[in-house]
Amino acid sequence: MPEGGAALAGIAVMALATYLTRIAGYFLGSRIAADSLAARVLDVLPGAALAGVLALALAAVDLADRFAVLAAVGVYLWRRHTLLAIATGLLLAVGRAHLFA
Amino acid sequence: MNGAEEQPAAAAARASFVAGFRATLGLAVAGGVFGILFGIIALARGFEPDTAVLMSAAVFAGSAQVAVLELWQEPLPYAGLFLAALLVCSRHVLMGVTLHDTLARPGRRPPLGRLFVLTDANFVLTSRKPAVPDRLAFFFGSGVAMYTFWVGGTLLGVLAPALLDARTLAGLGIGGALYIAVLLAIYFERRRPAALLAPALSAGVTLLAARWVDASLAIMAGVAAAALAVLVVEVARRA
Repeated sequence: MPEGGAALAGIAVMALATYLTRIAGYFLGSRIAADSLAARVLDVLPGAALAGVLALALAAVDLADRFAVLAAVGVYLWRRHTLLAIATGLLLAVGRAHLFA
Repeated sequence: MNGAEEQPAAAAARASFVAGFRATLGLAVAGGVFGILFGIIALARGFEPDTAVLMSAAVFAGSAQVAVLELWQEPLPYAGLFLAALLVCSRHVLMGVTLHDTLARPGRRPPLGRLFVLTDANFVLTSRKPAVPDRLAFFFGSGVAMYTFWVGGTLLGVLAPALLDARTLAGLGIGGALYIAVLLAIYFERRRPAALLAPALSAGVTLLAARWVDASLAIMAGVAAAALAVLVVEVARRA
């Protein structure tokens, strides 16, 4: 297992890569006119990326856990309360793991 | 800016920062749970506790950190770590492009320090254009909430790995999916139903592509399909 300087260098390399992704878009955005075709297309892409992440996450869990996620979204849309929605989903998933595992 | 103007601006920034922090608490709890899981998994893979916490503090990207656990062996493949982090976090680039007009201040330098806390959560909450006087401060407050819970969660995970039993851990494994699902609900709640078509296409193509390529590339394929579809529709609409 890497330790000391090697581990620090590994963390530094990862930190640099993630930071570059965080600032690159800001600089690209400064070069794109708000009403351009590129802006219109780029506007929908973050939501599309998040939808891809969610699709893979849901594909990796079973039906009961998908129900917990659906319940959390339902609670959010009903009460517009993020903490309540997250807590509902976590309680359902943890409760199910204890009761039926 | 003179002293008299600075005071209201500073007060507006403080209020906006606090509003961003508060608005993010629910999502930050999910981030904290994910942080606990990361700490426990990293410890189980042989990480030193301080290495895991330092990684969370310096990298602050849960999905990238989990993705590189497999690569974290002697000798470290630095180029592989760099590319893996770049690929997994590539959606930040799209978010930065979209947020530019909301965060930019004419005549001021780019907020390079505050962009360190760009995450899915503060992207979604800030892109809703909250009614605050200083949206950059709101964005930063939201990111600081995510950072605090993420690093705090990792710390808790490595200090008390036995705090949670195996069944609770298995249940909490749903945290990542919950976080993204609620984020998407927030992101799309005020948009037209037609706005759901591109993400639905992206999700379908991602699932299909994941049969042949790894997760990061599958997500890119989904995003590319959505981009192509929107481009075709927009070109037809403008013709």
